[in-house]
Amino acid sequence: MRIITIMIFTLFMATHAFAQGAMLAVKLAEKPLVTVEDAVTLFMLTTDGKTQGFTKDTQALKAKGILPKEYNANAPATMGLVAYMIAKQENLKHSLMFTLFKSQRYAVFACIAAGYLPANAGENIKLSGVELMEIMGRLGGE
Amino acid sequence: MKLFNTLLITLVVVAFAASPLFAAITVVSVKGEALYSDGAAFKPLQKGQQLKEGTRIQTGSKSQAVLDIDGHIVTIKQLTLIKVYKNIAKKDESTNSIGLKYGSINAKVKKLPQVKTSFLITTPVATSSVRGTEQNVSFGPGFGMQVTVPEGELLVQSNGDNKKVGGNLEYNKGTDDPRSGDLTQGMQNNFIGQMAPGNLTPEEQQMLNQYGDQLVDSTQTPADVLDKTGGAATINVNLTWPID
Repeated sequence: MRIITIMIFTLFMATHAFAQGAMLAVKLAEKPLVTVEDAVTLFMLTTDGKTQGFTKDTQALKAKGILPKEYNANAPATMGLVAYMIAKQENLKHSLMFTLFKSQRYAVFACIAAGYLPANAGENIKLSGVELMEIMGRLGGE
Repeated sequence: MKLFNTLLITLVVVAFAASPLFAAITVVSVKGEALYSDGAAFKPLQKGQQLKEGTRIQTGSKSQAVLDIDGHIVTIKQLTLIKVYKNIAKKDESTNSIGLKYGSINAKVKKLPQVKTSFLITTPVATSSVRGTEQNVSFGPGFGMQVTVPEGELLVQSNGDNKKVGGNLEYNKGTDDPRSGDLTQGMQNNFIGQMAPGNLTPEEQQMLNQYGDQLVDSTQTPADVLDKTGGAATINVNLTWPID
């Protein structure tokens, strides 16, 4: 009986986790502005394939130097922040200035050169859900 | 009676097998997370499932779903939302239309003999029509619509601006652009080295303008590089066009 219960619980958890990423995409698509928390969650799902919750995800990202030290979970996610995460994750060398200064401004230029962001991207542009998914789609895409 | 039933079943099977087409959308495979909605809430998409016209499909991160639409194979890549608007198949006609709201898909459209095939992929900015080809289409608010055609060629239509895309050409049209961009832009970026690419920041461009000449020895001539005494040199050049 105990084994059956464990098996059912495991299956339930697997199904729940399975639907998480696609359901998140459905919810994000409706958002005119996404938060830093949304961006971190989708970034983790796209790069790691799983998320462990915002607190643990941010700790892991900060330890790797992928997330800037200062951020507000509920603040709107900007192209600069997302570009910074991508440039650090992918170790982009497309901008000399980013290689030197590691700023969000130059991360945007590096991401434009690498094809992750469109040519008209700007550091302070706030992202909608669909815009965030478009960028993340390129990050994890083939 | 048993013989009659067997005969009836055989007739039905033969009738379906002999018919060149019948409208069908089948899920060939699902990798990762994909959901579908036929008007109600989104539900998990399963391999082997039959879908109806009007169904929306959403894929998650690191996921993809492959559909068989009347024998044409459509791969829905990660973080993509599509809707199958039209799926009509008759004896001599196959009409399919897919709406790509955001994300990217790959479509391999079979050229069926004696069947008029229409396979449209529509985004908010343009429509590509394809027959007997393979195409990659992506759409998003930042990059707009991008179409590449690994095999064959197709026509992309947008407000009377018709472009034939094939080979190494790439169709690009932003959400605010009245017309599509240069079809050879992707090729230029891939094949031709640029001394001062547009992707340089203004600061980098300024630095290059001011100090760029110091990066090379301006007193050096080609003869210095090859041989000061002169002479003949043999260079083997292998030009391949187009590049695979």
